[in-house]
Amino acid sequence: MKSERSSISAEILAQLVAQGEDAASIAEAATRAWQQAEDVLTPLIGKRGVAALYQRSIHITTSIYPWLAACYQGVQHEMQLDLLKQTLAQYSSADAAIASAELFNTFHDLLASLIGQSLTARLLQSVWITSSSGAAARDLLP
Amino acid sequence: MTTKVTIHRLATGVPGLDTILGGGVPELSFNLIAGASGCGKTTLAHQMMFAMATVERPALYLTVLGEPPLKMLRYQQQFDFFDGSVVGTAVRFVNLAEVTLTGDFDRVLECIVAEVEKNPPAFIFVDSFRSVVLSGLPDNNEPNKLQKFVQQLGMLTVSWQATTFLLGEYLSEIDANPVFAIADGLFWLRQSVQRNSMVRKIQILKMRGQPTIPGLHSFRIQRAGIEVFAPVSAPIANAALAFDERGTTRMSVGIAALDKMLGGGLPVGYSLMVAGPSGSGKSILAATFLAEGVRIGEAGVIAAFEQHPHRGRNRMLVDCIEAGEIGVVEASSPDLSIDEILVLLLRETRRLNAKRVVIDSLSSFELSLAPTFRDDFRESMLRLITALTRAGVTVLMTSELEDRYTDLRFSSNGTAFLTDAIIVQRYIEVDSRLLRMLVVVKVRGSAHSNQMREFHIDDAGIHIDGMLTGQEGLLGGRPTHKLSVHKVVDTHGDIE
Repeated sequence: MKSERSSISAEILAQLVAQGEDAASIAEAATRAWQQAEDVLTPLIGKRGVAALYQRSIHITTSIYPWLAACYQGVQHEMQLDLLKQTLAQYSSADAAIASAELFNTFHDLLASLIGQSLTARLLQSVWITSSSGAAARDLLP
Repeated sequence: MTTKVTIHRLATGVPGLDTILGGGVPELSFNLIAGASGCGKTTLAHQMMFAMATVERPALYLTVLGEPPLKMLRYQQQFDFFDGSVVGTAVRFVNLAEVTLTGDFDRVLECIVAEVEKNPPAFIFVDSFRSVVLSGLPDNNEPNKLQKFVQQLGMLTVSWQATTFLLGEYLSEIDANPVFAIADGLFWLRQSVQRNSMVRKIQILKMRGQPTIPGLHSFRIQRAGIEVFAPVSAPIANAALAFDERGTTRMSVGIAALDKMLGGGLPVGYSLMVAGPSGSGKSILAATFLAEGVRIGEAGVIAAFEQHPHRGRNRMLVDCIEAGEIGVVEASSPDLSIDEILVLLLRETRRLNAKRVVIDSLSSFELSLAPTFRDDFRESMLRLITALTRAGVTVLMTSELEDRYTDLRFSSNGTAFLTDAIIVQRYIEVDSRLLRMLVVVKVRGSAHSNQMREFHIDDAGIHIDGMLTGQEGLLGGRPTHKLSVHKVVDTHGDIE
């Protein structure tokens, strides 16, 4: 089940692509969002907990985008966002955007499967909203 | 001029808990919720937290080493009290497991202080505590370290103006743990397992400055959360009968002849026990009693403890139940407590403003109680009957009597003396027929008939027939014709 918030993040990234941003900027935006997700979730489930969910999300997403495997590191103490940034920057902006969106979705759904859709949406709400700098994205919000 | 401090009491939001606490949790108190794992500590803490926390007075839930927070959120949100919309505002979860794993108490305390200063909470929950001790480094003097940590935490929480709950996994209260001395309140949760039933119990071992209700109180964890079955002592205000008011008015049991035998109906507020062997018509009498109430506009409540409550139940009763004129308290789980039944009965009685309550039957009731409560059955029955009759209802209980004719007994466990009135039904053999007879044995403070009357049951219900005057030895079940055939004039005690 695709959640509402995740598809908004996809919209945001697609918009960046449409605006002609290069893969490095996409990677930058995605990493910023992940950083916020980490900040929000760390008090709740700890750095290791967030890292575990993140790694698991990458693992699942590699079935669609095998090249993300470069970011997969297994058991970690914290998220390795630099690695994600580097990897994303090596591909086209469209690829980077779509893979990032998928990774967000996977992470969101994984968390939702554990603590439910509403609580997940509530926790990650601020992340998916503020990771966009464009004004248009806000119009998409209910 | 009085300058004494007023300690506000906070409603816990757990049904029944405020009652046994003696009126809620004192504000700014330092409490310990203790018990073995799996006995409901986290659930109790969450339920209180969601009830007490507001945006202005938020709660901070610190996970030290208990359940992994993801699991906790996953399972706690199954309860009705879990309100996801306040997570992050009125309720904040913070995980300190990683710090605690280092075994450095000072670091843990620093982290707690940092969290509290970031966003001052009115309520702090620390889940859970024993784990702190276990994960500490075994060298430098463990108990002192912990005592210091807890003392500091206790001091700090008061100065933060926060009400604190520490959740701890302790196996027995004789651990003599220093935490017990420091805590203002001590909630002890237990699971009592006997044969295949498990009963959860809570005990307030300590609550400074408050008249708690001592002893173990059973509680149940359901979808709505925890419900504590506090002993009912206070009468229901508006419906309560003054003691001397009891018995001044009478109500019909629905059979005119039986009313007459009772001396003009059953006194209101009395408890009546109908004892008799299996199949003698006790349940029909009970149904008639309730149906009569419905007929004159009095709602009733029936507590049924059969395996299949609807099978073979009186049609008349089923109709009233379906129409909502008679409430049903059905209980077939094997771990009931009397207090739980009482709470359910009183709730249903209040809801319907019922005047008549039937317990059918005491024998199956006793069997459906958890084994751990059976030892106290008589004491508990006394409480049950007192609470119900004080609430202004008239109670009819049926009691299965063994088919034993050598002695006159009314109940299998000596509960008969608790009731105000007793009717006994018996089978008797007369002229190769099995007949039924009944007799009013007792109506407290009232004249009543002493006649042994034959009765029969047909589709219309119970019909009281004449006395069996030509017979003697009725109580033995095998009466004989009297040898001297003269008309027995029996007016003594007969108020016809």
